[in-house]
Amino acid sequence: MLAAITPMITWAVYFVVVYAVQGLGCDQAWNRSLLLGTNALTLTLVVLTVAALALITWQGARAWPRRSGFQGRVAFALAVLAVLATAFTGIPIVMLEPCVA
Amino acid sequence: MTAADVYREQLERTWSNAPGWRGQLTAVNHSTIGLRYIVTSLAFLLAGGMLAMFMRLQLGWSDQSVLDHETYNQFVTMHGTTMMFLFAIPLLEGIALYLLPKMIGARDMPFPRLTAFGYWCYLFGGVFLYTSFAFDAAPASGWFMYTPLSSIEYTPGLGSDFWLLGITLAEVAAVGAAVEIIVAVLKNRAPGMAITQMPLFAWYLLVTAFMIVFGFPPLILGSVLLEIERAFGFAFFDPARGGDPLLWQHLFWLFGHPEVYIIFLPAAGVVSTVLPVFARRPIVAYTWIVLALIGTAFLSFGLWVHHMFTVGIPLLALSFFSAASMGVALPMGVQVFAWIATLWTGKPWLRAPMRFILGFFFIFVLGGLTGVMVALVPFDWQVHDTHFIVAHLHYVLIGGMLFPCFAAVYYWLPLLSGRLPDEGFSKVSFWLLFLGFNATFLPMHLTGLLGLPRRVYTYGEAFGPAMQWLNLVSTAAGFVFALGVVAFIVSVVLGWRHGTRAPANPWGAATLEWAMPTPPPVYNFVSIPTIASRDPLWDEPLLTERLAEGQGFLRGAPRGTREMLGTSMRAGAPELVVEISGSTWLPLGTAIALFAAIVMFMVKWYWVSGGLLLVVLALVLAWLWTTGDRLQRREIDADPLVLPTQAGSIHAPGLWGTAVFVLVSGTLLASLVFAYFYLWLDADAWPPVGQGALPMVLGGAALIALLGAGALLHWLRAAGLAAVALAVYLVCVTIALTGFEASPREHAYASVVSVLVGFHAVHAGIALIMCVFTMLRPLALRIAALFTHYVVGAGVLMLAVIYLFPAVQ
Repeated sequence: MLAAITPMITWAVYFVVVYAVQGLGCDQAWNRSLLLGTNALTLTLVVLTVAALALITWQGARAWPRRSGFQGRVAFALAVLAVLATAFTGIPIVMLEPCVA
Repeated sequence: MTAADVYREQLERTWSNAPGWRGQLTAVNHSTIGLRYIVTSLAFLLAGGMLAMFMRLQLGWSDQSVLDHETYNQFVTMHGTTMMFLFAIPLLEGIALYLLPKMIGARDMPFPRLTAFGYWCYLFGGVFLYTSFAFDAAPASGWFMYTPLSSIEYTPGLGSDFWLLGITLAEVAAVGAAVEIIVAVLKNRAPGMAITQMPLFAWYLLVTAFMIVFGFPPLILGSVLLEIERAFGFAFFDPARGGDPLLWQHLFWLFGHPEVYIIFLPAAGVVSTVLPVFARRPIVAYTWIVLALIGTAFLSFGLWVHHMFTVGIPLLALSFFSAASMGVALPMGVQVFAWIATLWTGKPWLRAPMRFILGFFFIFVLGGLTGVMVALVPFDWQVHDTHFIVAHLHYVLIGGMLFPCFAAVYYWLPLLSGRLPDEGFSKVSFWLLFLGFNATFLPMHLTGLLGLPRRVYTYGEAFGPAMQWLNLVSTAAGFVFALGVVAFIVSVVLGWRHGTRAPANPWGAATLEWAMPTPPPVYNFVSIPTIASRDPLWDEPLLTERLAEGQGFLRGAPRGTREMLGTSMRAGAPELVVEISGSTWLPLGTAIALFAAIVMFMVKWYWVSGGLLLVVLALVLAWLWTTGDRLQRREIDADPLVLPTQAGSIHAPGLWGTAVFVLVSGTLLASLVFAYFYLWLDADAWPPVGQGALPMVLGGAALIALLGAGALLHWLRAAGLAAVALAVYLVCVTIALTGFEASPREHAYASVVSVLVGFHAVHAGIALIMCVFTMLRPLALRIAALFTHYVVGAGVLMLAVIYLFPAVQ
């Protein structure tokens, strides 16, 4: 059963990590150092988002051949949900300033 | 006398509660305790409802003086607290405890003493909270107890203490029930009932129970920290000493938002159970519903900051939570569409339970839509802390929880009593509730948009006549709603006592509980059936007769012990026979001792309180000593199979229960580590200048002792030596703490480090006692080893956080 919920666990870990890194980055003023045309904090968050999306996609792809069974279907559909949730959580990263100042 | 009569007579003798009052106080079986939860929670519903009526009278027109502001604050706090902690959760626990074993083909919950203990904790916690009115010290800081308002400086009396201690005690019940539900669903289903075939209600309860495991510890931790701050002057939430009031909000809402789903999901489980019966077809998209359920459970943990949109967190961080808040509508939508499809393709049949389900749809969907509105940050900034939010949360909670629960009561009334509810009377109560509800809370959307703040005891005429008239409508309709609640209770009591006799399975349901005679016997099933489909009663019409004749596992009770089956997690293959406890004084005694310790703590008789905790420990040891097999493994003829008993088995419910408890404790530890880093983030220096650090040598010694204990247990199975190593560890950390330069009263750093060490020391102490215990009871070694390994892992993490982190930061 644990295998079926792995994509959602990945999302949960991603969610906690981006929230923590955002708080930490603002505290340490990473948003003020420029890197590759943007600031270091935004870049870190984008990298984390892409990594999470890749990981979940891989987890979903592994469940695809088993989609006719109950567990495989749940795992695959949860991976779809997790990709949507991750993308939805991640979009504001490229739209908003990461910190108050 | 037929063979079946003999079985019934044996079972009756073995499973019945003792006669009279003594029997009531010593009962442990799930039907008795489940009903008790339901009745007690309905009593608290009436109490909480009365408070609401007074508040509505006060707000009926501007500048009323029904309640002064202090009393209003008390009522608003107690109303929210009662409805959440003393009504909603316990009612669902009651329904779960009563029904779950019957639906999955078990005779009881796997830990009956824990069931009873949980109930007493809930009852004592709830009554304790209400006694605060008698001392004119009812909590008045809101049901969320925000610091610094609830801190000692601004609430010097006992109000907050009543809340923190009473509610924490009541939460013990929820955590205990969660442990039981998880183990029962995974390990005590009827043979053949694969996890993909179990009733959807069991899926809802399983997911909810896991949410309790991860959702309740943050609040328990927050309450303990706040109580320590209030009682001993530690600093966690006081910014002058390095604390942060927002830490409380984080811990509270880490619990508080999942809590909404913890309340809603079991009620949704009722909908998924009742709806197919009245649509007269199997539920559409079973797999998709399970999927939606798991998705909702996860996403609901990413919503907590949406209660904190206005506290000054950077917009990007808010947007993460805004996204998750809207995202949770996806799986919920899947869920709702599966229900609609079931109705659409079925042949719906309108009876009392179905009417309440339709009411649920109407109200809950509206509450869900305003939920998506307030998930948007800019909109939330406009309506935060106004009556718009009051309207939203009541649409969600009353729609999502109260209506399905009332449907559940009508639906299962024939099972409980053997009699049908009165259709006409139930219709009256439905329309009073439905119209009363909407007329009470719909206007609040408008008063909120007009700017009426929440939790404020009055408003001036300056808001204009529209505000007054809308409020007057709310108040009047509130009384209609209250009348509906009374009508509901009266109709249930009348149906119970004087309703028409119900035929067997009166609604034509598919789930196993309807295969029992009504009212159900204390042992549920004469024999345990083998289940081969998702809708057993529809696919196997003769099942009821076969069970009554005793065709199945464990027929009768030839050994005079309460026996149930343990089955494998996925396929439901029989693995063992679980012998469970009969009536005993231990749960009540333990709960009384724990309650007394808490009362003594509140009146600051700390030594007496400590002594009482020793009594609790002694009673817990007596409790453990009198369960299971002492020395030898046994096998039982469960016909057609011979199966081992639980002692020493890798499938023992005790082992699984311990594993779930480790998850609870691990979440507590994680919350505490979160608090540590949260406070670190705000600090200028860590440890603060002049506060010193813990002595390094002792940390090293503690680490070695701890790892030694784990190794001794793992490789040598030497419980005695492991106990010695744990004792050495405890000595090391005690010396380390007494040699600590800083006082926890001075700065949050010392406070949080002391609590981390203390929290872990308590666990190490428990592991030590468990190791000693297994020297006398070798069969319990696996359980002690599991817990000790957890303690070793937690200790390594704890030492890394307090020693390593300050050095490498």
